[in-house]
Amino acid sequence: MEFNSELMKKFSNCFSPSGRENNIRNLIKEEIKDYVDELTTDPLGNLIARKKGNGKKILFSAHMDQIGLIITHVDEKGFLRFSNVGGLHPKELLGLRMIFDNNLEGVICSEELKDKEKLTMSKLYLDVASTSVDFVKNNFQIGDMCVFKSEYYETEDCVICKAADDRIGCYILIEALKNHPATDNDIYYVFSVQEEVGCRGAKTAGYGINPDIAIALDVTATGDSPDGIKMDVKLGGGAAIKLMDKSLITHPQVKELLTNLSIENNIKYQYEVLEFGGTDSGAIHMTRTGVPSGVISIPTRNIHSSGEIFNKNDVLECIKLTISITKS
Amino acid sequence: MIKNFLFEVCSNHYVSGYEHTNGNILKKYFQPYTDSFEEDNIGSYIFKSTGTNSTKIMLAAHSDEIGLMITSILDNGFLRFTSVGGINAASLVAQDIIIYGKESIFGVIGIKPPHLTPEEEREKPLKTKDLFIDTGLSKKELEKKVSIGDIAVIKRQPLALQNSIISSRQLDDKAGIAVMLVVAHELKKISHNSNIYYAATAQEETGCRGSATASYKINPDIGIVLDVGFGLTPDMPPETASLGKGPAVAIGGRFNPKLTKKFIEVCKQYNYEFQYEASPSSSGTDTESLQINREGIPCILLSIPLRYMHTSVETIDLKDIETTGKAIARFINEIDNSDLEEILCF
Repeated sequence: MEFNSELMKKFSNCFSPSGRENNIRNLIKEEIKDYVDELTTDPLGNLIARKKGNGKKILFSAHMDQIGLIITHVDEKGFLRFSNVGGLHPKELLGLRMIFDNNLEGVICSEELKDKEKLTMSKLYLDVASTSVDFVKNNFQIGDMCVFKSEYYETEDCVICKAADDRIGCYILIEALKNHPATDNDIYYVFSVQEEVGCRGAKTAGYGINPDIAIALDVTATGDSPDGIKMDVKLGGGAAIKLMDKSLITHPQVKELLTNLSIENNIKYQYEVLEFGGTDSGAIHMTRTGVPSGVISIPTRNIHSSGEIFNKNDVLECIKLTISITKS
Repeated sequence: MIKNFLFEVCSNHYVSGYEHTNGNILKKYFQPYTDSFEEDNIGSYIFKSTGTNSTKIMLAAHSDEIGLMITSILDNGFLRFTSVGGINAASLVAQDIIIYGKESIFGVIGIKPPHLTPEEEREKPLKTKDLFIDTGLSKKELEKKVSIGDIAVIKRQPLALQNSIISSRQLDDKAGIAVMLVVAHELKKISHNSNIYYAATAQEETGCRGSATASYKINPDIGIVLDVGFGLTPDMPPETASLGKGPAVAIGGRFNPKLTKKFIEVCKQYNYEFQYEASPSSSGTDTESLQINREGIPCILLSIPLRYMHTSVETIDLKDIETTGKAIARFINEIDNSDLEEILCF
């Protein structure tokens, strides 16, 4: 299986911050419509692709939304104030280029500060490069969202792009769907909305589907960068089987299942304990009477930045593991 | 009975997410008093004592305890770990540890000698990420027995102090489970009309998770949540509940005011000692998820006063467990003999 760079590039460049997942949903629909038995969109906007069967109900979830900014105020001089949609730190925003759905752009600037350490979101503004206040007022308004602008780039083994969180999870689900094996299991591939603002889509999708087991596909942090956080996950180490994060303690039986499948199918894997963050499985495992849940994580550096980095081989291992679950 | 139960249960481990490992002990104690047993899908145990009417009363106490999880095996054979639930790193220093890997392994958590710790460093708060477990094994030996994600606990046996005071790890919330056991025992004597569900809920310490799924499964008319509350020590505010003076009845937005009032009336009428605990916003207990489950579950929260919460020397008075259990049994009896809808009606 080759890494489909064209598809991932298209996904990464697709404008779809939380609550505005229309573009990516259409893109994914187009990509998978010939491979599924049933394709529905639930009331919150989750795209649910089903491969029917009479066996176990398995839910896979990858979120379609990406982090971004939302305009809160357009001032009299034509500068835009904003708030974050999803987890962003003001210090990491300064100087970044942002792009809107209509392809207009801006750059994030700061008011003059004596102490840059005290930078807060309220001191930042977006300069959309126009001296005409009318132009600004006609083209931007409260509630408009924008996302990072950055180019997709790849080397022999790794990719740098924005929104790898979690378009790479969507990518993995699509590859698994295209290579769906013969199985009795009833499989739901969920492309969820609004994960970045609190795993909202997954909560309703989990309730609606009421599965026997749930597996999220999402990115996780790594401990392999200079003087970085202390954790054992690394790029190139294979699919990461999550054992705990702030939203989930992986069900012991799911841990065992994923471990055994990896060993049986010669899938390169590593265990992950993340001391922060959460995924769709955090929401799904608490729906109704509970759902035994786990996560296959894609080791990713610089999560929530405009240059997230992952390893293509890790992605292939994640695809293999996902496929092996569908027939388990 | 209560002391035996607590000593046995507290000698085993119930780290969040792994409560089932020693779940058979809970079954052993609850099944003689109940009619059926079921589980939710994430580890909560539900024991039911069938009644004669259709009312469902859910008692909830969480079965999990805080613990540790291994995050890394270092080259020199030391283990890094993170906490499962909220732990102050200072309470981990100089403790014995058991790691539940492929086999159980003992370890210790040490700290740099004072001789080599400058004054300013000593004043800084310790962080879990700076601590490590020493097992005596090399990395190679450890890798055969321990992997990332294995759980560990502080190795400490329950201890009977003077009077009816006991000290142990995980009395948060085995004290609550013990209260449920007293209730079950009492109701066996006086019988009941309502269906009583004793839920030992999973994963409270990591976000009140099992109580969400267990209460969804039970779909009760009312909930009685049993947890521990802060007990008075010289370094605590004077209004803190004291050990030996009965349960602290929580007052606040999470708790149904009329049901709470009814419980207080029952305590007063039958002379059960109780105290108050103000809980203005979040109580951090299973009431968080019960109150807003399904269409909403009217709840009360009763806390057993406990000193040194989230350490390995949590300390309670057995008398409080007895008092609370008996008061709840009487409360259930009163509910059986009145119109619940009328009690709950605003």
